Amino acid sequence: MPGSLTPSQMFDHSLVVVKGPSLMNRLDFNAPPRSGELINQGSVCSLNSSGQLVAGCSVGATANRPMPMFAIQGINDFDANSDIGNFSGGVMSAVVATGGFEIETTEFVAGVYNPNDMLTAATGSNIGKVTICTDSPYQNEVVVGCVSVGTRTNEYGKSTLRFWTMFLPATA
Amino acid sequence: MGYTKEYDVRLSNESVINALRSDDPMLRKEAEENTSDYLRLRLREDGFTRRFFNPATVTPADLDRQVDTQKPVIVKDMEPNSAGAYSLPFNTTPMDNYLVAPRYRVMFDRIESRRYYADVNNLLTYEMDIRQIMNDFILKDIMAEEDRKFMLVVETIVGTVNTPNPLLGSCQYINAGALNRQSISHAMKGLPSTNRHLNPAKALVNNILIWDVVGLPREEIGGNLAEELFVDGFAERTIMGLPWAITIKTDLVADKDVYMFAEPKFLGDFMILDDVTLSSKTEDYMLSFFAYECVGGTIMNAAAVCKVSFTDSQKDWRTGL
Repeated sequence: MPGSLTPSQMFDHSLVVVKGPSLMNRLDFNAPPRSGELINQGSVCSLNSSGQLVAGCSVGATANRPMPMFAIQGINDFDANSDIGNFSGGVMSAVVATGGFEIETTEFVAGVYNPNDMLTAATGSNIGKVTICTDSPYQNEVVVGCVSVGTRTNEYGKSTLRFWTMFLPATA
Repeated sequence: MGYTKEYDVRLSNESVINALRSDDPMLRKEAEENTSDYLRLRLREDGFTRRFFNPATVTPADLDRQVDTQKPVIVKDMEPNSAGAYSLPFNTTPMDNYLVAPRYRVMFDRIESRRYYADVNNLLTYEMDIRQIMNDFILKDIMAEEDRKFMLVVETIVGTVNTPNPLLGSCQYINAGALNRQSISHAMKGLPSTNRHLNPAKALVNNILIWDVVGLPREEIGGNLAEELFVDGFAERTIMGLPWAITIKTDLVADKDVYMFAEPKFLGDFMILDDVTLSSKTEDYMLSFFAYECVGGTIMNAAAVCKVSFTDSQKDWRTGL
């Protein structure tokens, strides 16, 4: 019987900043992740009240609206986390949605995406992924992006979604 | 300050800035090494972490590749353990045991300073030494981050006070009572009390606790050392045959605490993939610079670290009681 194992690969979850400020000057942010959180590279994430990165981006509360960000590393990448006994890791980084980026991410809910579709942060089992808004901006959903090109299959056979990052907070 | 000195410093600053702006790497290196008189607000120190290891510079050729990540990592072997010997009557064959040894990974990340920037003409108006800012502050900031991360791992390993670690058959963090000759000797028993029987090779205390040592009477620590400490102060001292490293980082090492570490070969690793590098860049009249390094470190032997707090009543290393 031929081999049947498919090892995970470094391109299973990806974030590609297609356009935006120069690498050494872009708006990214570093913070420790919340313990036990699952954040993949390319996931939408935000800060909780303790200043820790968590998957997804909640609508927040009046005058306290979490800023959407997109993870540059996966939570278990060796530079973000490490084996017991190692000094390295403990901090993740993410590009900030208001930083003027067009990104391509593997972390989205499968579906049909058309140019100019507004994107929000999915919840429940899809937390960490982006999905199409079901409401107008500034209502019940936080807007984290606007589709530029839509979906495509990348060079590694992974489905990706390309969009401009943005932040329109909910008002609910 | 006299005008001449001030003028000299400004000239020096100008030459440093000109060198930093140069494309000639030798001139830039000189600037980074050449940088007098300014108000000091706090004492800073080099890091202490590297004192407990034998830091090794590694090259890309030393890195091990992984299927699922492109992050740099080095895989190392760990000492195997034998199953022990036993007594048998004659005409009996030995039990079998498959030969295996554990491995572990040394992982790397980057430590970097903030990127400082300034208009070069604004820098010309300063009278202090630019090199001090660059070399002392930024580089020491990086060392301080090394120390912070090192102590995080140390604290994780030593665990809860007066609580035996079943793996090692001993506590790794106890109260030892008030500081005196007897409690110091009790502290020295920490590493040998584990089932791995290591000996302490170096201790770490802060610059407050060491004054308590200085304050010990002649009969407590011995006449020569008492007099030497009283007259000369301290930097790193050998007490009861053990070198004590002294840090001013009281946020990492509390006033009543001492940490003891086994020899580097028992402790773990400190690997330098990119040693501290000062990067500077000039775009027209804007100068920017920052420092970074890429290092990996481990404490893979839990029995190579212990901690003692010279507070409360003295507890037994094996029972915590």
